[in-house]
Amino acid sequence: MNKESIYNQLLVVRCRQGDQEAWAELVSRWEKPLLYYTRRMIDNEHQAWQILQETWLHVVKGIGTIKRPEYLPKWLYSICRHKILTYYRQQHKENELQDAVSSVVDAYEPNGDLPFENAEAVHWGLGRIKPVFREVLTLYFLQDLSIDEIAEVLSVPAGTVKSRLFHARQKLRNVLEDTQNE
Amino acid sequence: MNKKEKFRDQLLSQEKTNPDYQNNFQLEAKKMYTEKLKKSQRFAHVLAALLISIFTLFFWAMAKVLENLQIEHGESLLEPLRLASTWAMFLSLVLVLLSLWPAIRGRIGLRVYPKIVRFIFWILIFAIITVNFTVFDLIQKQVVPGISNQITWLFTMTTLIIVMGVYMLLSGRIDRGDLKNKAKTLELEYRIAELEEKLDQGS
Repeated sequence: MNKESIYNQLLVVRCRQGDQEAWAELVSRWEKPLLYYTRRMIDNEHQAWQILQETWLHVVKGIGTIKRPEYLPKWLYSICRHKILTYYRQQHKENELQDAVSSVVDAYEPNGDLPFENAEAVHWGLGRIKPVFREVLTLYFLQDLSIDEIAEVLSVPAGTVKSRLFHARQKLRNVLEDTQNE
Repeated sequence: MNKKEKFRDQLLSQEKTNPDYQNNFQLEAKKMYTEKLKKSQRFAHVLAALLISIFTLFFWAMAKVLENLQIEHGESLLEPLRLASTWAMFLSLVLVLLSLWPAIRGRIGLRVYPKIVRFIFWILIFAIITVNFTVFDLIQKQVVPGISNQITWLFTMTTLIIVMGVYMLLSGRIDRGDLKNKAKTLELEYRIAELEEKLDQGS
């Protein structure tokens, strides 16, 4: 278990003890990654902040009963994704997110190396690939979740996550190469 | 910071945000810690207030009984006991109001509120045990006609309340103790992880 994960767990326990400062710190620590993820899925910034707010409202209600603080990242992203899906449903755009992905399960295993080193280019490129690929790649790049945890957040098998990651990387690489060639 | 973490930070810094939205979010997040109550939770608070009002009635009755009680031995104890009962009656009344307040407001402060409630509750339990057992002891020593039956009934009822209260308090205390231990363990683990990181950087 790494330092960050331990500290997150400590903050959760302190929140359960009624420590308001721990709550503020927890929100502040997770504000950026959750916003980044939400913004990749939703164009409207105001709406993204609203979803973030709803996510934390959900968290504050449940934090008193969270038995396994080590699952915090998975829990946060799951709630956030659920809120995003609710937003899509309300906007009748559910199909946009659930668009077809072939069920190819390649023998692909992420080797941990990042093929993309230019964060600015990756950030730009993420906005130009399909939401379904964008989502999995964003979660992967944010590094808060393992492949298995991403699978749980997305409610798909781990093999599907690996397959999507493989395709998503290809798409992102194509987008970035195309831009370079132009 | 390793290569992956650096990349993550760089990626996160690409997100440009509107400071107004961000400030608004941070303000709302601060307020969230005062929990919004559901209808069922509000009802539970009203129910708790009703149950606590039994304490109020008990202490009021005890103060009245003690005012009119005439005993041969230990009469000097009656006035302090009556005063203690009156104070406990007011405290339990405060607890009734404290329980009703979130039900009316629909929100509950998760930080200070439980501590105040717990504090008053403990005082009341202590008051019940002290007043009740002292009075019972006095009655047992000298049979007072017409009073002993009443006191025995009161004793049975309050013993029941005490047992329930102590059970609730103990289970809450066990939970809090468990959380305290978890926090301590995690603090230690965090320090060890910090040391490990420093050692890794040094080597």
